[in-house]
Amino acid sequence: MFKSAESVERLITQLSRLPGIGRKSAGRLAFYLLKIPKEEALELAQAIQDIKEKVGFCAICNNISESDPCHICSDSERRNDVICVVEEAVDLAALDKAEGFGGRYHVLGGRISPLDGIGPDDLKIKELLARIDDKVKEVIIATNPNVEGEATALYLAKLLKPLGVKVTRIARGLPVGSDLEYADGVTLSRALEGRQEI
Amino acid sequence: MIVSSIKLTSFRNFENVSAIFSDGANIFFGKNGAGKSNLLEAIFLTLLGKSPRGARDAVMVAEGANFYRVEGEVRTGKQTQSVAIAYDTGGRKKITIDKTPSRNSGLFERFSAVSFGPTDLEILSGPPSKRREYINIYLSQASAKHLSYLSDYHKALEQRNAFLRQNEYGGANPYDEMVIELGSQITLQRKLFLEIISGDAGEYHANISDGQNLKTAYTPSVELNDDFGDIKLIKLQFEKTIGRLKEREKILQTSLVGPHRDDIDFYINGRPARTHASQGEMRTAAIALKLAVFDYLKRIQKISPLLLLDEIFAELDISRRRKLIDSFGQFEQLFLTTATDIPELASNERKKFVIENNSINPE
Repeated sequence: MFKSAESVERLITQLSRLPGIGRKSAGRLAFYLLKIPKEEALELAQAIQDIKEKVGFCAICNNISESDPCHICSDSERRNDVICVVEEAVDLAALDKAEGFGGRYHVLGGRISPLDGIGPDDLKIKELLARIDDKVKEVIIATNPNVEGEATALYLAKLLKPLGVKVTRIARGLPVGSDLEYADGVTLSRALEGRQEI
Repeated sequence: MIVSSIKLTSFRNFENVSAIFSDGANIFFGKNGAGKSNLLEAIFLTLLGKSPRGARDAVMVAEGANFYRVEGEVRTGKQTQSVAIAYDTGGRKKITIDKTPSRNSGLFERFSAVSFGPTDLEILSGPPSKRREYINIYLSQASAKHLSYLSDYHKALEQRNAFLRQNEYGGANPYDEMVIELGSQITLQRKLFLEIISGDAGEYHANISDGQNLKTAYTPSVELNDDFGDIKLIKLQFEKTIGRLKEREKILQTSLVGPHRDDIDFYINGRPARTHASQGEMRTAAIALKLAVFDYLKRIQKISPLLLLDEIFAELDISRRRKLIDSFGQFEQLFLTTATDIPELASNERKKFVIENNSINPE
């Protein structure tokens, strides 16, 4: 594409490997980077280098972290009797914005999907089971509410229950601030099933 | 439910046609191969996004064209909605209701249609998949939840089979619980559905055939007693059956138990229909089954589904024809095809269309 500037071509090729970026967008990004001041561009390069060198996984909960154990696992203010299980670190970040949960987390690193070659042994399930001791009273399973997430939840529940711990699943239903009339029938019927006394 | 008009673009043998229909009966006359059944297919497709005879979308695109588009105005009670289904040969399918994009389930939640065509004899004579299709398409119209259970079940089943194929993994199949959970729900819904259908279809059948007895018996692949009705019991039995078939599943690398292996047995006067019934008897039984789901949907939705009947008079004797025609009065709107002029249909409350030269002409 750019025979005169091989390094630009190399950058475009690298950028187009990112998820959601095609060759055209990659080209646009490359030319943007060409135009901005050198320091700004190097900051991006440095940030990329840092995450690869400094960020690792927490040995306890498998969250991404610069320290081991991570800031959540080493936080003495948090409750030790409840663990919330999520698929990915990004789900943890989203959930931790929710108020009212001050417990610990466990990141599985994905969901069980044999079609994608991911079996139970490819996830941090053994590590989760090892964390269940007398102090842990409840495990909240917060995998995504789709077929793979539900299947993973049911599978985990089967392994966890014999350990004498309470296993709960996050509720499914209506988004807050939405209108009933726009909800589809299946969501509404799930919401009715999960109704609560007020 | 009334389809008041329809417009077809490069659909099957119709390049560009439109028609305005009336309430009550609409009858399509035409020679063999004129496209009468295609027209019924287009009407069914408009309401539910699927072909009533299980045709793939690519097959319904007119020869030489690279897309089809069907549009219709559908009246339910006082509300009129315009529906459009478009498909291009690149594999993109677009469904819109009142210009708003919708999923297929959106159609199932709003509309309902019951169709009968020559291929429906396969409900009695064909492989078990034809009987499951019969349950799926009508139970899904009655319950959007069933439609979502079905689609989730098939996803879970694919995952379970993928695990069975990757035998380097040891241990229990991680999709057992999900398949049991969804499969048990489907099994229970099918049981309750078929109990109702069995009674109603039996009555319709006795009426059309002068007292012959039709019995419909659900035979789920999960081993269950006749009087199961409790979801916990079904789950327990499901788990047991899976456990018993575990070794065979490992060898065959596929799931051997669940709703995808269910069947229905039909008996006419106590004898298995598949092996003992004549073509005419099978046709009568298939019509009775369709009339029964028609009643069922009407009861559940408090509105009359659209009824589409393709060549139902073939192979029926005069007395059965008459009794069938007598039942037409209870329908809000009906579409009917015939290759021969039937004197019994001469009443003037019916709108007739002649289908010839790839066009639709009101008579």
